[in-house]
Amino acid sequence: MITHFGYTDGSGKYYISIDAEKCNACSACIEKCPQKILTLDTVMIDLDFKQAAAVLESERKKIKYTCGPCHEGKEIPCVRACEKGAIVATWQKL
Amino acid sequence: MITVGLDAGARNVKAVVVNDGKIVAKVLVPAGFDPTIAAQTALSKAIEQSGLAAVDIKQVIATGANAELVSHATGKVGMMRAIAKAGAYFFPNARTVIDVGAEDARAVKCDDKGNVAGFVANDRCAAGAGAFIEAMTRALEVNLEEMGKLSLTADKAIPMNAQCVIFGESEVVTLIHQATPKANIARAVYDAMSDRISSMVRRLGINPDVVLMGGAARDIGLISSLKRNLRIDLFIPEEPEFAAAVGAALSTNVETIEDRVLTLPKVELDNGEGEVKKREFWRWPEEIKTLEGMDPKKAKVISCGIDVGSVGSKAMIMLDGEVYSWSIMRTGSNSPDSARKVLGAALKGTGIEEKDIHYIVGTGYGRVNIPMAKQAITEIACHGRGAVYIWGPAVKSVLDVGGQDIKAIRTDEKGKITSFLMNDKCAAGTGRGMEVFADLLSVPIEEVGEQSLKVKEDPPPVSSTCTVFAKSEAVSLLRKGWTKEMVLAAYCAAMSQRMFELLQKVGVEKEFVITGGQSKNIGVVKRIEKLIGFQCFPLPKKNGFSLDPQLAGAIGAALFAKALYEKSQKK
Repeated sequence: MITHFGYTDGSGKYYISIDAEKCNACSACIEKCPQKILTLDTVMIDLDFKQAAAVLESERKKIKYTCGPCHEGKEIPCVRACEKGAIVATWQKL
Repeated sequence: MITVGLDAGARNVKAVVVNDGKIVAKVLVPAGFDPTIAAQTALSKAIEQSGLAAVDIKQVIATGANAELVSHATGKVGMMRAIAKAGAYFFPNARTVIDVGAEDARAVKCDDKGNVAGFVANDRCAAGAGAFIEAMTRALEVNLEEMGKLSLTADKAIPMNAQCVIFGESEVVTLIHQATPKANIARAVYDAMSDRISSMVRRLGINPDVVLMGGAARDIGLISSLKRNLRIDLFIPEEPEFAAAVGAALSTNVETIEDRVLTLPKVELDNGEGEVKKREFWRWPEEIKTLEGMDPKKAKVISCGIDVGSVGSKAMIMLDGEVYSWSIMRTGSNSPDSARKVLGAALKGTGIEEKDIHYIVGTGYGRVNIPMAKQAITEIACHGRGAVYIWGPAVKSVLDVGGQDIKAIRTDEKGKITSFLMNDKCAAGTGRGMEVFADLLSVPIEEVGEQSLKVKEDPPPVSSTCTVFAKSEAVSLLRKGWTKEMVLAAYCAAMSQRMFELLQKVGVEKEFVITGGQSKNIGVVKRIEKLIGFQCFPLPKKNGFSLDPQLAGAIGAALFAKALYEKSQKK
């Protein structure tokens, strides 16, 4: 199950998408995130509960600014840190 | 040299006359519906005030959102450059300049000469702009000046969740209902706004000295909150609303404009409409229904789902996994009461009571605050499951448009959710945004969709997605002589486009359904169908009636309740 954290507003689309089924909850992305906006969260898949990486609730509505600096570089630290390829970042400014 | 700076903003036009680096006149004129005329008025008033002759004026430099509409300008300059220049003029040590206007906010990094080294902007969304505070003063029933003073007397910092002006208003109303002191609410409003402004400025880096300008820089509530948030002192020019105009007047590197005269059509006010609001047009009808011919006494499992949404609360009672009795009501000021009320309504006349229900699952925006629920499950899971119950297992894509959020869900052939997103940051396209429009145009919310389809051809969609800006756009379209139907069509078209974009993010399949309150808005449904190129699954009829798609979340929750009850019995 892929959760798209982030939003679309008048200025563009900003998402960090995390695939909870691929995620092995190793926390590498949480450590590498320079803004410390990632955490582990409980996800329900078929009435079962598992841990997976997620964007902190308090940060979800402002990632345009928080994640902005990482998108100026060539590599996104959280995306690169993930061995399982569970994180995808989308950045589309209008 | 004598130059005039004209800052044609969203709300006001400011004109400043500068003679050899000294400000000799300042005039502010409300922009009204014709910024060109407002600019002409401001210009002539400013020249008059300066006591100079019009022939002495060497340059008129325009800036601001409506700079293009200033017909007498000899040149124009971008807002970023203008505020950087102004920052350096008022405070030579300024390195960061923040400008908060009515409909946008921006910040620049600059050098000692007022040259721009970097900038960030927040437009297209009213959160973080002056309009945010303005809307909250209306909800708090205080005036702008009182609001600032009030916030300084707050004894407690409370967090505000809303990032959108529209949602902020309902949050403030909820806080008032909960008897939160107005001073604390006022502070919360300023904190929410300065949080947004500072996250924007941090993006640029905070280099002292930091200058704050723009109309909102007059607000002591905002100033104190922003200082707290940025942990730095702010330098504020006297009469900060004129700063950008001063900057424009001082700009040397300007884009010159060929002589031109812009004429805008002048349209008389449509007096017949929108004068008296007797009805609250956003109010949608509540629903309570119990199916006959089913006996709860014979049921093995009585399960219940309660979906407390931001606008509507829904309760569904199921007998052995089949719908039996339900209600849809408006959500009140707190979740527990709304849950009690909606459950009470669903139980009425059924002969069963709350204690007879084996398992209750809560979902929706208020799910953690439903006291009678044994388990809370996210609305994503519940909507997916509920949609499969209503339309059958073929469903692959679900778009749920609720009061304060839009959810796009994609499921696989087993009904398992594979991908989803929830947009609850912005009111564009949500039910609440539609309510605001229904009220503005005095059209009952149930009729919005139908009326929007009365146009022969869709007019161009409104250009602003932000509900606050779309509202002002709509007002000016009405002034230009557009009919209500055309304005509704333009708004529904823009909102459908927004929903379609969200849907594309998770991927849309042919087996597509819309749930939530907006599924009843035919104007939106038809337009989305056109965008995706195929029709939504028709709503199936069971025993001569169709289930309201607004119930999907509550149905899903009731089905999970049954599954969880059975799981607990097996142990």
